[in-house]
Amino acid sequence: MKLLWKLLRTHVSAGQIIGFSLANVLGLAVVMTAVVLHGDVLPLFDGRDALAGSSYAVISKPVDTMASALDGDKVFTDDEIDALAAQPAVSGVGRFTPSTYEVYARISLGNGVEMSTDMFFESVPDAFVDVDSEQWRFVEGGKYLPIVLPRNYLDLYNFGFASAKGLPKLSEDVAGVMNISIDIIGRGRRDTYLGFIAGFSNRLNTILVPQSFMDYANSQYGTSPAPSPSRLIVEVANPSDESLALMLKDSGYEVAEGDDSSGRLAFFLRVVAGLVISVGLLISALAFFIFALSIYLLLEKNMSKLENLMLLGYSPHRAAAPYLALTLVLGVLQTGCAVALAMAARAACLDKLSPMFGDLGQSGLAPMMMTAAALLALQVILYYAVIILKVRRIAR
Amino acid sequence: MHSKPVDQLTFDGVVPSALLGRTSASGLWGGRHTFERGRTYLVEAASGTGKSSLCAYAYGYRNDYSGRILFDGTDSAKLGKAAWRRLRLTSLSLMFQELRLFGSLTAMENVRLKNDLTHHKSDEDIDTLFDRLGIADKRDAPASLMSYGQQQRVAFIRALCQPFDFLFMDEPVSHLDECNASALADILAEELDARGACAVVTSVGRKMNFDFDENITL
Repeated sequence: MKLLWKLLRTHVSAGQIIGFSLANVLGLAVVMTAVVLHGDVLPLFDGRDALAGSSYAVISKPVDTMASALDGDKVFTDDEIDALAAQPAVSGVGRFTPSTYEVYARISLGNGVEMSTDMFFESVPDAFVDVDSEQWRFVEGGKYLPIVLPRNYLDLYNFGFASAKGLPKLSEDVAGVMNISIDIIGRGRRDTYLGFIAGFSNRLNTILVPQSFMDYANSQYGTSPAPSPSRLIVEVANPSDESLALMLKDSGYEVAEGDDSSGRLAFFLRVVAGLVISVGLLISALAFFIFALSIYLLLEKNMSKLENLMLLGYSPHRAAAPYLALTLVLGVLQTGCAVALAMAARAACLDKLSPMFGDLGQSGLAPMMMTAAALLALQVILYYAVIILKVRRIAR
Repeated sequence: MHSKPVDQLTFDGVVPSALLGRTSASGLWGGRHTFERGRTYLVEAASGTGKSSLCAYAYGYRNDYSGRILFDGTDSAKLGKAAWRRLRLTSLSLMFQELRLFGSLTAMENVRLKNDLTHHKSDEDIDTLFDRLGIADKRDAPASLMSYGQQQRVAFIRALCQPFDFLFMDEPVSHLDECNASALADILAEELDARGACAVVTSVGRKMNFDFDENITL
């Protein structure tokens, strides 16, 4: 191999290799940076929603002072619910059940800081809640109570309260393991439950508990019979079906849209990352093309040596080994440099972002490493093909 | 590495494209001639009558001829690249007329490039060959700076660094003095004896001091 390299290194141009390497490192670094930041930042905007499916709507009857004064008119009757469920575009209707007892919650944040507040609960049938069924349940007589909070609450805490009070910011994962002490008060009883946050939702501005708990608590602590539902959750099988929209309009129902601004932001982020990755790939592809050409010329220039080697009994693989090794070493070095550059760029970006968003995850690292490995493998395979195909054609 | 030895190499109606229409008196071109393992052949001819072509056809890197070349009855036209490579490592060796040494490598490196592939000769054997051929002091000189006669001896050593049944030597002593030519002939005789191999040596004029079994005139 040493001999072969001594023989075949003539015409290898350091200038060409350096130029090509710089271009390729630049292209790869752009790709890696986009992949790693995309992976790190996207979860901020793309949190999993605790409500199942994407096509659902919350509908209610319009509230005005007259109707409120008359009372009763703004709830849904069973007939109305059946009519809604009969719509072909509707695959499921769930009622919101409100609590008829008092709820008082306390959260200890450490350092002697405690937050406590009066609250209320609502529930929807479990089928509408996309939380692990192991977590989303309440056993009668048990003390553990899972709840789903609006994601706004976490934002309110992180960006408002925590900043103002100098308290630590909470990620969703950390919030999930916090204990909330929940007192349920009614009919002269006061019992304490251990609440924990099972999920967050962008789409519902209410605090959800499992239906089983709601039924149990209303029967045990409820001070009034459960009222008819004033809101319904509707799962829409086919969002583009206009008949449903018409029906809702004719009935005079109001449809509450989920807050989807972070969804749009996530989409925008994906588009930008996609564009940047494309540009990086383009740079890398051009660099690859240039180097493939220069390798090809190198082989042409050393053609007679390669031919003589093969007449001596060298196989194309063995004769071309120095060039294969050269492309492999260059590929590994370039990918390594690109990863290092991307990590540096990532560190710089996260320094800017972390004051706003707290600690960001490491979730971009694995995709970046996989991308790096895949691109390296692709390049090495393509160089291998270019070199071997050329050398095989040289000798009989 | 060792496969079944090739015992017969037959030229059957072979005519170089350049000589089409002419048949020589010897019957080699256009006729049927078999080179046999264990025998030695001197091929004499004026230049331009196809001595180098004979070597190139047998070694398989030119096919500008009509007719067939058979290795123990197997048509060489049916051999793929891998089969030719195997033959060149185990059964066929060729000392090119134009030598085909690598000028940027030293004499020793040129030999090693072949021996690394076959591991046929020990380092001591190679040193002894350099000694006996009088180029021990040129071992580490770049081949490009050596005289043609010196290069011929390096190419000869390289051709010996592999097992073979047939050794083709294309004008091996054209630039050697009497003394070195006979040293080369002695070594050749020993190597052929040891392997029971066949040698086909071409010459335009200068002849090796060697007792050939058969003389062929093209």
